[in-house]
Amino acid sequence: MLSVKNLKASIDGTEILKGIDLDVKAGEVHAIMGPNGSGKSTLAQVIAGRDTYEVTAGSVTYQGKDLLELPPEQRAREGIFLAFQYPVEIPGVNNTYFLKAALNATRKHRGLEELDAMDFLALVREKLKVIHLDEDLLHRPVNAGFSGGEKKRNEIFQMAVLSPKLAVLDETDSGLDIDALRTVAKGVNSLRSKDNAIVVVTHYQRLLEYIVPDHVHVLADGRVVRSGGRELALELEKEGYSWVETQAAGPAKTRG
Amino acid sequence: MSRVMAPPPTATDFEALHRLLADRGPDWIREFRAGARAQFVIQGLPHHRMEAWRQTHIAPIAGGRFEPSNTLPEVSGGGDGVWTGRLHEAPEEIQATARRRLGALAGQEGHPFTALNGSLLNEVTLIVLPQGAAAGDLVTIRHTAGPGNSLNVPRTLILAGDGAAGSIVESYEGPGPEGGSFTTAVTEIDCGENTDLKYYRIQREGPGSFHIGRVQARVGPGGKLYTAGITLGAALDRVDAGVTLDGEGASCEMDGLFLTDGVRHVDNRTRIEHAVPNCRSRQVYKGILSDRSTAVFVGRVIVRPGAQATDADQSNPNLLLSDDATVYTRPQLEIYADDVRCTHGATVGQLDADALFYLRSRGIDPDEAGRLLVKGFAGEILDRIEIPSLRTQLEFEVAGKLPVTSGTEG
Amino acid sequence: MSDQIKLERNSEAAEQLTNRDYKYGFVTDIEADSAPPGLSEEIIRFISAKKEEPEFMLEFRLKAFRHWQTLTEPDWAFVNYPAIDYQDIVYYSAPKAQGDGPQSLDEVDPKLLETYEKLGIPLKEQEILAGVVAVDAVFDSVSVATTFKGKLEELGIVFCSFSEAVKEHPALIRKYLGSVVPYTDNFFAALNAAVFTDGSFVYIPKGVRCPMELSTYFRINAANTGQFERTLIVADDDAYVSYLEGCTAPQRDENQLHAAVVELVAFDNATIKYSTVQNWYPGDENGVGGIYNFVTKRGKCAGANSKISWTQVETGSSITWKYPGCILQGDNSVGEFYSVALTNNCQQADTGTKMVHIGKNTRSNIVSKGISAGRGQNTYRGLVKILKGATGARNYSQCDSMLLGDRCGAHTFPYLDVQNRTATVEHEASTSKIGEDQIFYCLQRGISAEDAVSMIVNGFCKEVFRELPMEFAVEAQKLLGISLEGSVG
Repeated sequence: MLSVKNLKASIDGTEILKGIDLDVKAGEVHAIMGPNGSGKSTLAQVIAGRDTYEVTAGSVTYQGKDLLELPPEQRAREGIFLAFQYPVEIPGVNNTYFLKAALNATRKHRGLEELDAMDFLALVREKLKVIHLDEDLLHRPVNAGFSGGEKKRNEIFQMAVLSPKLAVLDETDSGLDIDALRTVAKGVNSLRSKDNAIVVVTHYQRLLEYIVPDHVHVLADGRVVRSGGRELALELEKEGYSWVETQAAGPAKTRG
Repeated sequence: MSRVMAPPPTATDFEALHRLLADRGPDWIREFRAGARAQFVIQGLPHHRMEAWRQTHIAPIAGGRFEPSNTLPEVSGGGDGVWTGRLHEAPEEIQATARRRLGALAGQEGHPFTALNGSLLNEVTLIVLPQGAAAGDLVTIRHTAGPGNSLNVPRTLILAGDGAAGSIVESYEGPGPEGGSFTTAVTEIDCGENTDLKYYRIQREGPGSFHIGRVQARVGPGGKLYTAGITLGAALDRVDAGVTLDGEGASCEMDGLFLTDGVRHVDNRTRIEHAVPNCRSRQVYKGILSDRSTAVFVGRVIVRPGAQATDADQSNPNLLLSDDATVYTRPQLEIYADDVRCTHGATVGQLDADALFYLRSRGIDPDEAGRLLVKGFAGEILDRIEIPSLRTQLEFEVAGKLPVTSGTEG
Repeated sequence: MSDQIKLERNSEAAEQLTNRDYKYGFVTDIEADSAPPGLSEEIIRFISAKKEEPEFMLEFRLKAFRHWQTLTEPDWAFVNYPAIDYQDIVYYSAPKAQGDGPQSLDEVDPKLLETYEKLGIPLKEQEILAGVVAVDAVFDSVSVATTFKGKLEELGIVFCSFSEAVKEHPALIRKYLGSVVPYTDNFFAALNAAVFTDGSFVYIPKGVRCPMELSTYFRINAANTGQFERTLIVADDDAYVSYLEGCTAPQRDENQLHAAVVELVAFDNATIKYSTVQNWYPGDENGVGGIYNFVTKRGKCAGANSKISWTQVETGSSITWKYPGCILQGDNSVGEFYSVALTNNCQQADTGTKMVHIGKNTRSNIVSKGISAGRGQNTYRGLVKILKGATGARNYSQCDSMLLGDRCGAHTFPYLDVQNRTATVEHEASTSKIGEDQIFYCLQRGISAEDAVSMIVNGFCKEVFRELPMEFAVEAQKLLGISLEGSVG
């Protein structure tokens, strides 16, 4: 579904991603772990099409299409969803209104009929239950005045409504208490199917107890330094990131 | 009544005073005076129908008769490599630089009193912080207005070379309680690359004096300028203070505190110009008004086209402590670039009733509670003064000027 | 100008009136009944005579004209435009009267109605939507149709054209005309007082709550025709009225001057809500054409506990110069100003409010949202004045500006004058670029860039839109979207 090859990206001339390779197939859940500053969030943002990052080399193919050619809204309509690490507040814009506009833009793109207010509301109510979000939040402006946990749950709620093919969760677990974490995981797991794929970007192993990954990749200094199964996450938990960093430093030295 | 009244004293003939100076000093200063005089003739003294002078009436200056004073400023402090003193006594190479810079920042157009200052210019106080000068000794410049109805024309030029750091205190004092002096002061501050300069301007002239001031500064790339304008005296005070952020990464902080009482009138005009990208400015001017005094604050922040990534804050909180005081406040933002974050705010109010009650509920008597709160209000500015002796002195002076009555009435 | 020359000019004008063919006809082919261009006492007498006005009206006009001649055009606003030649403006044009004028819509010139249809304001349809909105439509300078008057009359409400009010309710006009905006107020108010041709008049009697939103749509259609309306609304004790004003103008290359005056008077416990959506032709992307909108709007809260609330959405005109204000004279009276001003392309807006606190415990609230795009220049200018007797007065102002693009400008010039220690005045303002993070967030959810900008800008203006009556709010949001078209890079 998603194939990242030798991806290099920089911001203001500083290279953050230094050649990433990643292959995600439909039905899979991938976890991307790594210390702060390893490039995890950058990778998520580049996949979503953030133009503050300049892609300097490599390719990203999504469902056979050159993803890097598409503007961010087209990527979204093609089924890529990014749950933001820091969901932005949009004052004055009603959450429901926003979501309806987003859903209908995607439906239109896929040749589906736009949902009317009634059908949309029914869909929204159904998804709300899964995420345990207060209906009240729907009537508030997008993320404005939401607590950290509410913002994260709102991201998962939006994901549930938009039902993407590829969901990238950028540190969705940070700042969540255990109950919220379970709820978020439940929302994510409900999206799991043989047709969809999920990429979980996280610093901690904790979330992976609830969203069990098929593959784990460890990022350090802009490169994938280890890939493996679920056990890799546990290993990391035990050894800590310093262990990874020495691994990353090793090859860098021999090269330099 | 009108028949027995003495005719009003003839107004000062600034033109004649200019002519008196005609032969004095070297060529360059005579040329400087002549240029300024031409500007002053074109502009004349301002009047209250002009937007910039609508709230500040200078009739007592226009109609008063002032005699030139010959008091000289006292300059002290300095430290290694710092040159301080009278411009014409400086070594030739320093003089040459200073002559070129004089008048380059404080433009005369739209500033008739700057032109007047130039047309009567005689002495220039010069402070030169050479390249790389460390934040060493404090430089103080003390201007004392001449006695009686004296006319004072102080002029200061501060040049800070690349990487220089330092603190300068410039104060305006005198004459005594009977004096009715008129001071038209101009200070120019030119800060080079990566400078770190602190400039304190204290006006504590006598209650009968008229003070018109101008401060104009330029800050080069990466430079930092902090200014504090403290206004404690004079019957009429008007200061136009401007800073141009002229190199990327430059920043300025402008603090102001004005206390007005009696029928005094204080008018502060500030102008911060973001001429290039990536500069930051912060400005807080606070006013405390009592009796029948009036205060004006007009603060303008201008973000020029292309000055992207500008970050500017401005605020003007005022405390009105009497029923007869009036405040006019006009914080202004003029923005021509889009990648900016600019805020401004102004408030006018009295002491916070909740805070007063809180203090009183702790047993503090109302007057004392009021004074405490006003001191706290002023403290926000005074606490940022990094020279302990100056801070203590100002705290003492401010405390002495606070009205005894508190927020309990009304 | 010497008297001799003036006399000649006047007689020349008079001659033109009587002898020559009307050159300045309507574009829509209606036989127009216009004055020649230019302004003189003769022209004013002509207007007054045409409108069969009582003597006091002529006197009012002449006094205003004489005063206007002593004034110079103000230049303090943050706007630039070529000098206006006031002698090149047609000060009177009216559709030719058919007998005593139309008594119902059926009698209205079908071509006029057709023009309205084109503008999307089908009067017939509105008539069918009975009871929702009463429309006093102004085509150029004279009211041609008024609906729902009958229903309002039952409640004692007067809602009619200004000319009609002058004839039918001269005592009311005489009492209130110029009582809030005297002809001496400013250059454009003086000009309006001298030459205004029509407008609306509303009187809500004691204790009456007007059951529907009153609405007027203004149109400018005649080439080179200045539009000078005058609106006067009086709400007696305990009365309530909500008045809507909306404007569109057909595209035209020549700049047109619009100098209206609106006066509101609210007595004890009365409330007047005045909402405007202004989308006059803004000129093209190079700043050619467009309306000069120099308007004086003011309300007087004359009675205790009265309230006047201005809401405006200004998206049109090439130049806007407008400061709807409130004189808060009655104790505990309230003044409100909610504004959205958008400038795109070469539009310039210098707008804001004046809140003058006179009575005790008076309150004012100001919310201003400025959006600048293209090469637009947007200035908020607002005066809050607390006079000595206004014990306990409170004001809160919030002025936010949003910038779209790096060639536009946003300026904020509040004037706060406080003469009472018990007053609390707060002004806060911020200026920032439209959030790139917000746009990206929307894009990531599949929303197009244009929709994202429109959505974010509308969200930015929410506080103002919620003050508008529902149907107006919808129109305003659409307008904002349309006005921003092409502003996204």
